[in-house]
Amino acid sequence: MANKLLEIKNLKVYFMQDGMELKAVDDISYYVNEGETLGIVGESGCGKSVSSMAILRLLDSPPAKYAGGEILFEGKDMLKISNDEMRKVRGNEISVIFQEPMTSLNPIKTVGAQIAEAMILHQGLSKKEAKTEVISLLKLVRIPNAERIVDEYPFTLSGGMCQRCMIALALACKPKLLIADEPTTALDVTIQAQVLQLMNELKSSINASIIFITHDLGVIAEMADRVLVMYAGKVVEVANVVDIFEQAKHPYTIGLIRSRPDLETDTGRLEVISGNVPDLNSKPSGCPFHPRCEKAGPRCGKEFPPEKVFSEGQIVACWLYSEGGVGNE
Amino acid sequence: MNDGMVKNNIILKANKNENYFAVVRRQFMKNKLAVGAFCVLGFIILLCIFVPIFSPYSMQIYFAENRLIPPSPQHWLGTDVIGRDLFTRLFVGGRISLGIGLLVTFINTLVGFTLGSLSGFYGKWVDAIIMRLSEMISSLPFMFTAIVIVALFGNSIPTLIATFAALTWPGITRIIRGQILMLREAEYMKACEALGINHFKRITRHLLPNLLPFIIVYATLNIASVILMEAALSFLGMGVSPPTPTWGNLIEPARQMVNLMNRAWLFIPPGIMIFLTVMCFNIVGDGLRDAVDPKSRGR
Amino acid sequence: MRGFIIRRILQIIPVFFGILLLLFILMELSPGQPLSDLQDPRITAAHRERMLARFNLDLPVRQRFFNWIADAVRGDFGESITHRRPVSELITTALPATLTLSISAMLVSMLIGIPLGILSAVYKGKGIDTVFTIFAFIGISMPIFFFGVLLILIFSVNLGLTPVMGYGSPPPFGRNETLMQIWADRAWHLILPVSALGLSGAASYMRYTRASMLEVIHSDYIRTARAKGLKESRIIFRHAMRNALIPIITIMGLQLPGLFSGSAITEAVFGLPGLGGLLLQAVGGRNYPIIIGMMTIIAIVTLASALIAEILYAVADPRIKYD
Repeated sequence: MANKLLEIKNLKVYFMQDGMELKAVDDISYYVNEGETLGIVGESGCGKSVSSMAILRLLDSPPAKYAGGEILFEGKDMLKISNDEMRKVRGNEISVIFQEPMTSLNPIKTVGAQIAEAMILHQGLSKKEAKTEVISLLKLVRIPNAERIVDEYPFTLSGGMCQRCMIALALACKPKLLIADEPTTALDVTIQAQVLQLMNELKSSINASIIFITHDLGVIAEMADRVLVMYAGKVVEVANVVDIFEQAKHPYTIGLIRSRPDLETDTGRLEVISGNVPDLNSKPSGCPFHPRCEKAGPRCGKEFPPEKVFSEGQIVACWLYSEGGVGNE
Repeated sequence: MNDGMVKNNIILKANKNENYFAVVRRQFMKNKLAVGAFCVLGFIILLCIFVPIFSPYSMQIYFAENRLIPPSPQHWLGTDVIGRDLFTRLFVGGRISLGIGLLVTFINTLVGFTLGSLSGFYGKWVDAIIMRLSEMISSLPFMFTAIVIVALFGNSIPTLIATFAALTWPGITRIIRGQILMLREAEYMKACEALGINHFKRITRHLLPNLLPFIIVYATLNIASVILMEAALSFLGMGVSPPTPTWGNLIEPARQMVNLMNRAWLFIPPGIMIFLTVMCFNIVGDGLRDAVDPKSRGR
Repeated sequence: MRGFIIRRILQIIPVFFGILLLLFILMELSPGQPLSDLQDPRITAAHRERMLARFNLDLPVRQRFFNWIADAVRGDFGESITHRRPVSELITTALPATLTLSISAMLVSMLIGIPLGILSAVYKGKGIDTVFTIFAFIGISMPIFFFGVLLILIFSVNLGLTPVMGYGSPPPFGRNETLMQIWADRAWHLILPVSALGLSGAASYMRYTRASMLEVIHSDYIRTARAKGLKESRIIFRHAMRNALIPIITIMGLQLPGLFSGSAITEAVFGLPGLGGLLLQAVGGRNYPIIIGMMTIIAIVTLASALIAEILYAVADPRIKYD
């Protein structure tokens, strides 16, 4: 049995706005095993980024508030350790690749200096040593002319190149956990494919666990070992990647999969999930998905369903599978 | 990325629901400092309107025997060198100072909006001329230019208003021009263009509602700076000339050593009035900016 | 870079001549003339004509404009109508007081305003931010002349700590004193004026720095820096501050005309012999050569400083490549 590198228990992250609590992440639990890639999928605003930024306490607080739960990384609760301890984890044991490569690098520092900074800080390298390391890292992420690029400013590079630099930055201190927050969303489709391919290739060589956040199921299929589906701050389904695509249980997951264009069984029309993602300040009661759910019954609006465990770690939170069902019409 | 998104949101809001101004008002009401300043401002304006009407002392008549009385029950703020009641003069002066501020702002907002939209919409040589002209004016220090113009053309109130308007239009013109250049690229303006809606209609029906918040914020802050400029010019003896009082020329006695040493009541009250009024306009303007532009909130 | 500078200078030249032309037109349009009998009833018609001819004021405006430019190129800005001294000499006598006042005030504004703005942004919403913000509002709203008057009232009249006015102690002083003592005396006289002008400038630098810093603090690359595990102090000083200060360079250039305006008022309050006083004297007598000479110098200084600000901006920000 694989060891759990990261375990999140009953995490609650709220945003305070105009005196109201917006429950961005509402009592979720999940874990990441060593060496495994966990994909987190969901529409924008479902809390997938927030839950992962919370791991490194990178949310601006206020307005964000860690309202409860535990984030255990190698047994330490990341919500309880001191700021100094946190800084030793950031960029060293856990690192992040952000969504916007062009704006995530400091525009007035060279990419080399920005990557070296992390190495100098965490590994105590000298500037000179760091520079050779940076160049070999840049070569690792397949940046051509690494010796020249190391002294370039981010704005002279393309989006794809910047994202490669971000990946190099994330890998700089050989982290145990890599959080990739929609790393390809802001890129052109062809570049997306290249970056994904690169990440897939690196996956085996770096020997790190990855949390891969995306709204794109296609990317999930390529990258993830296990998939977590989030909706409006809640985890609605967890399963390994094959099960998600072959035997999804939750109506929302099923809807997501059906709304993908499928070239093999093209019926000419895409299916859609009717309705919109709810606003955080007007979240439906009970199961937040029930207003959009075809199979919803009276019970769905009252109470959030308990988790139902299927074989091989597939967990679904839906009244359809729980005792008592969705309730009577 | 954030810029575009937020801006587009504002545009959407302004177009989608009619009660955009209700949203702005609610945001503004949340800012207690700004609401407080707004009330103080209202109170000052009321005083300027009513004190001269109900005052037992006339503006014109003065009594030599009443010269330089320090504040007393008869003359709350004392009297000046020729025996005029300073409490009354303070608020008559307020009428002039505020009046000039409002009128100048009205004129240069109008001028700025016209020139700014011409510049933003037509570009090319129209833009080049307007921008070079505004560059000329803004690279001269206001005070020096104003002194020269006022000295050459006389310091009547209309000349002063014209001078201020002529020297302050570049600010709003640039703001409007910048906004128009940005909005022109917005999707819905392109849609208008594609639909063949003409320039004039596009400006008045579609751009104006989106620019209005910026114009209101600008105007509020501009009134404050015009009041300061007028006061400074009057203080130098180049503004409104006595006997007409303004807050600026009421402070002028402070330039004489005797007054400065012994007669603080002559110049302290108008100074406080300028300071208070300008500060209220600045705070209200700042509050309005935060209310209309979520991006600047709390900045 | 050199190409950019040359291009900008080529753009500035028409603006400069435009200002000059505007001035000549204003003078032509204005009612009244120099040496009119309104100002001095003793002036006879014949005398007046002689004088106008002497200063070339009887020529048509177009010719005066080109004559002036031709002379100015040779460094001759004409002669003052009332002082019988060259304009350039009068201006160079008045310039030091204005420049000393403006430059010291600018330094004071930046040294106070920028650090407070950064602190205010870093501690946004906390007590310290509220206090600084209130001070900034007071500073922005306080009329310089009233502030100056209050300073005199408190520090000179009531406490007797500083001299009331002037650019130095009156004449017996300075005959036997060393240069050091003269400068110390001057600094002593300038404390209040520089504070009056500098503190109101500090308020606006504070506001700009705070806004710029807040924008940077919430940017993606600061989050990246934080995710690297950097210390908060390093994030603020190495990553955020440099980015936040780049726009302040532009503000520096843009504030110069305002600084000159403020210095004219401050000079009047504290009786300093600067450009403001000279201009007030000159406009009274419609002393056209002085007016034109002074406005030209000021226009050149502000246009040049705007250009310098742009160049500095390019030096500080690698993203800007002017070529």
